[in-house]
Amino acid sequence: MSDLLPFVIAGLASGSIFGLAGMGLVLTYKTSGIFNFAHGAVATAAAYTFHELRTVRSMPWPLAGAITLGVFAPAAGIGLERIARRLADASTANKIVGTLGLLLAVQGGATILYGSSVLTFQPFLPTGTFAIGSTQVGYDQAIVVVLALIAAAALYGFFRASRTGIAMRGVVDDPSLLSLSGTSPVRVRVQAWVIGSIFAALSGILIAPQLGLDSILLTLLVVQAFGAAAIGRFSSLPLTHVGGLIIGIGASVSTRFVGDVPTLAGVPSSLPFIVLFVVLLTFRSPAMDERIAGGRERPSASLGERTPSLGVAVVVASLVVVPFVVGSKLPVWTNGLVFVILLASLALLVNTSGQVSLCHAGFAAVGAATFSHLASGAGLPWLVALLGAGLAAVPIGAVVAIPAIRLSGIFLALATFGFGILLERMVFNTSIMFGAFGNRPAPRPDLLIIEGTSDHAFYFVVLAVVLLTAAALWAVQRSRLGILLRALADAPVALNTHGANSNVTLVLVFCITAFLAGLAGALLGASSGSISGVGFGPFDSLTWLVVLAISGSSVLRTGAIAAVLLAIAPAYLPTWFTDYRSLGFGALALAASTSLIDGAGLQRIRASLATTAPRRVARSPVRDRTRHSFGEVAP
Amino acid sequence: MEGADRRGTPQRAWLLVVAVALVATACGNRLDDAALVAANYIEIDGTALGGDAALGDVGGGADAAGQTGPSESTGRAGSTTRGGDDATPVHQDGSASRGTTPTSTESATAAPGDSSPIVVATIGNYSGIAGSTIGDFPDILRAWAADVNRTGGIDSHPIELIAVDDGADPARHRSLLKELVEERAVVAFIAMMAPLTGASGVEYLNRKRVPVIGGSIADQWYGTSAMHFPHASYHELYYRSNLAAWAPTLKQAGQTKLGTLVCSEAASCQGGEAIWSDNAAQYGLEHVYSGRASLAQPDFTAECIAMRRAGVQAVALSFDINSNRRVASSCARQDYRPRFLGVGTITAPDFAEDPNLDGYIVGAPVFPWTDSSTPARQRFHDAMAAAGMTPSPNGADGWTAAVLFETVADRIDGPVTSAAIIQGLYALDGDDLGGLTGPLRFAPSGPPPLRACGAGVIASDGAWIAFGDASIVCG
Repeated sequence: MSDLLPFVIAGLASGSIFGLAGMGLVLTYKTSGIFNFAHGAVATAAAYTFHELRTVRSMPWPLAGAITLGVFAPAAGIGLERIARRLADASTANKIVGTLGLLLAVQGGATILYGSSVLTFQPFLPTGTFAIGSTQVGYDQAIVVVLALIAAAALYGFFRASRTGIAMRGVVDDPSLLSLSGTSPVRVRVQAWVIGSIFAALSGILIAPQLGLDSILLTLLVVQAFGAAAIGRFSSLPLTHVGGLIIGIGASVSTRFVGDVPTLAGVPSSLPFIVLFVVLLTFRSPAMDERIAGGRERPSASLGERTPSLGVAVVVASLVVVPFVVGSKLPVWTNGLVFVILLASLALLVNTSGQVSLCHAGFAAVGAATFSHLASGAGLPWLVALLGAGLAAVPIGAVVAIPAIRLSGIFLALATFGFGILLERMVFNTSIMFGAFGNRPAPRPDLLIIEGTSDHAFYFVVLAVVLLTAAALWAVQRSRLGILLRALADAPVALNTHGANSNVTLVLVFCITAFLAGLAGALLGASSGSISGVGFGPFDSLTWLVVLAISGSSVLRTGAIAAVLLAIAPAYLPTWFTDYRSLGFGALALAASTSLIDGAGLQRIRASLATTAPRRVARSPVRDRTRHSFGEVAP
Repeated sequence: MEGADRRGTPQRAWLLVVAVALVATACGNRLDDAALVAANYIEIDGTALGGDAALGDVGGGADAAGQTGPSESTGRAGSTTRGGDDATPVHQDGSASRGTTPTSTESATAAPGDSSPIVVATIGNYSGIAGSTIGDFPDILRAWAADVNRTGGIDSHPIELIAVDDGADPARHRSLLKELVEERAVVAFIAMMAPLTGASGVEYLNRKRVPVIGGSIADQWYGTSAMHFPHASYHELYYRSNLAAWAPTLKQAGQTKLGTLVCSEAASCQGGEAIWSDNAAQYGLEHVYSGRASLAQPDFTAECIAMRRAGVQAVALSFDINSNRRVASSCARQDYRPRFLGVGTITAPDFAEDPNLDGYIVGAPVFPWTDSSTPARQRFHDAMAAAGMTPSPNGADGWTAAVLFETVADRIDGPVTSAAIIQGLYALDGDDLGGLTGPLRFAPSGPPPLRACGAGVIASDGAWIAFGDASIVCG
């Protein structure tokens, strides 16, 4: 045990930060039902605010800290509460997209204002050390540990004893009853969001001196707190703090054991996500019964695709002409076509069946790697390798369907996000996928009658695959399976009562979407001649979902618009626009999901993002039970 | 009817999207140079460099070259770079041309007596996360181009440099390659730092037979592509060159127990991990620890404790610049101060001022950027000073790649075309560019027969010091 003590001590500091960030996350989720993916963005924005005040405007750090925590964080909390209020009756997918949009917008904004390089964040707490056994502990680390402990205890007491705390529990249980007792539910929720934002801001300021000022790293750090929140069952604040400590200490202690086993070297840094995935897969709590309680909502009023018409023929004809008019931009258009497959398959999952996946890029990565192994490694014919790429992704889709059977909405999103991160960190750079150097060859076809290696020929090969995929997706939507998928989105329980098995339908749709994503991954590889994990990370999945949400509510059309936005348009925009892309996508997704925009063109977006008759759903007994279930768990 | 309207509206919108996209695309192909600059390019150098680069000034510059110390010492006009083992002029009609596919870039020529510019380019991941470590390469190349043009260009042809950021998008990278080769008559790409996207262009460059000189030489395609000509040890040899550069200092200090600590998020962090551990023994080192950690970890205390327990005396780091600093800080807190080892692209010049990184050794694949003891190295320092830049590991790296191009282009007797440059590269026989790199050789068939060569530069008491006599060690 004494052998492990230094690692336990080292893990306490990290774990306290995870716990601190996790508690803010759980607090706001408990009181609003909105899981704030942008929690890390609040921490990031607070750290930059502190830096601006202290370093740029030369304020003393206590004053900068007071302004950040006393002014900025409450203002952010009030703003977030307004966003959350607008999202309250939206579909789960819409809630996810709204906060993801905020995350992207804050990251993009920070990059525009402060650049993409990491800024040094000078320490403001004492950096001296003291010894516990053979381990040196920094005073700043000890302060973080104590602060987190005090915060957890204070919040626990606050919820148990204070009038506001009890009101916060009451707003979860029954806001109308709380209102009758003379307490404004809105005010209570605002208070909860303010406290949650202060926690996020505090964690951002405390960690920035160690991490440096980097919008992506700060966000990633808080993402690791999702695992702590999972241990707290997304409802218990003390347990969330304990969860943070378990993850921090666990990661630290595992470092002691994996040093001699290179294949396990990625375990310590992946532990938060292993915990997240395992907890979501194995434990249940009332707060996680969103699906059973009816949290699944029909995502769109306009699902199927229309019968092929003259318009479609014109589009196809235009696509045939593309290689002859776009000149050197042809590779970009080829990529755009591949993205149509990729995003239409995601749209089938999200827009038709009401599921959420944040590991879609993982499916594509598996397909890409398999394609390289089959086509370059095993020397199989190109078409066989392409088919194999799609098929290889199917079992992964089936695996991801397991959490989809058990979970829905936000928890499914979190589970798939964790799975995507695990895939990237634990498998991508192994010989199974992209290898130690992270790169594998991916040939273009040399078919019997077409020499597909030229850009023009390959474009038409891809176009053929896209048209076949489009036809298949169109047929699926019109088949019995398509009806089942829409029913799955509308009312899975009703689906079961009619004799159909919703679990089988779920597995089927995940397998189909994984197959198509695998195909797309292979084509992306063949398009560039080699494949790597670049572009297949979990944050790519996240961006794809956001862009899909602002592109519409159908499958093919939405996939095509999203492909244009993601893959084609950037090539025609100035380089500096890259920095504005995240901000633009994020802001648009946030605006669309909160119905802040009502222009004629965007009304369709709003319609696609909003659920059918959300207010009616909100007032239904089923919905009320959902809210009630959040409040059943002790703080 | 209403339903019909509802159906029609989005359909029309969709058609409009396609139409607008096509129109915009067609327009895009007709962009003039100024619009291209505004749309995509970071900067275009060369004839647009100002008075220095104008051809009329080139003559003056050449005169000045003969009169002024710096120009003499820089060896511009090839005095140092051409003074290597092989200074044989290269003729474009050389019969040793590899393969039978005729080049499609013959149009990119400058006729004898002509003063048209030689157009070269770099496309890379110069923005975003990757840009934070390699985003200075366009500036380095700009400094080189300005230096060449200031002193008369190459055989009276000024250099026109096009530097483009591909936004880390492989399709855009390939698209830009096509655009630059087919529409801008680029004859060669120099120091193309595209670790995230470069692979997407390999097939095209090989088909078009346009050479890439230098760049992200640690990447795999440098060992397989016939059109990629590394300016130093490449791919696996690159990582072995790190060992070659680190080992003399480590052995001298008795710090032979090696650990490796790399980031868990990116393959680019992990490229050297296995090579360093597998080959350590060849360089008299003992590998005793492998670890991976997240870039987003709050600190690295656990890793430091684990390394101390494993007896690690020197640890090779492969994170980003910021995390390299953080690892050193975490270990220093535990009063554990192993010697830290790194490579150039993830080393910031101010590492030398960080007491936690005192003793840090950079394994540079080219000459120590601190050294100016030879004319070729002095020229680098002068050019950096003229450009208002501080010499850096990236600076030495990009500069060496550019000088390799310059050396070969200078020896071409006739129009400077892609084919002539390729022949010139094959004609090299152990040329070290005046001590800028290890001996260079390129074979028309098979990977370049280079050795693992590197130089160690040590952070010591706030300054960077080249190991030994600042020479490049091959092993």
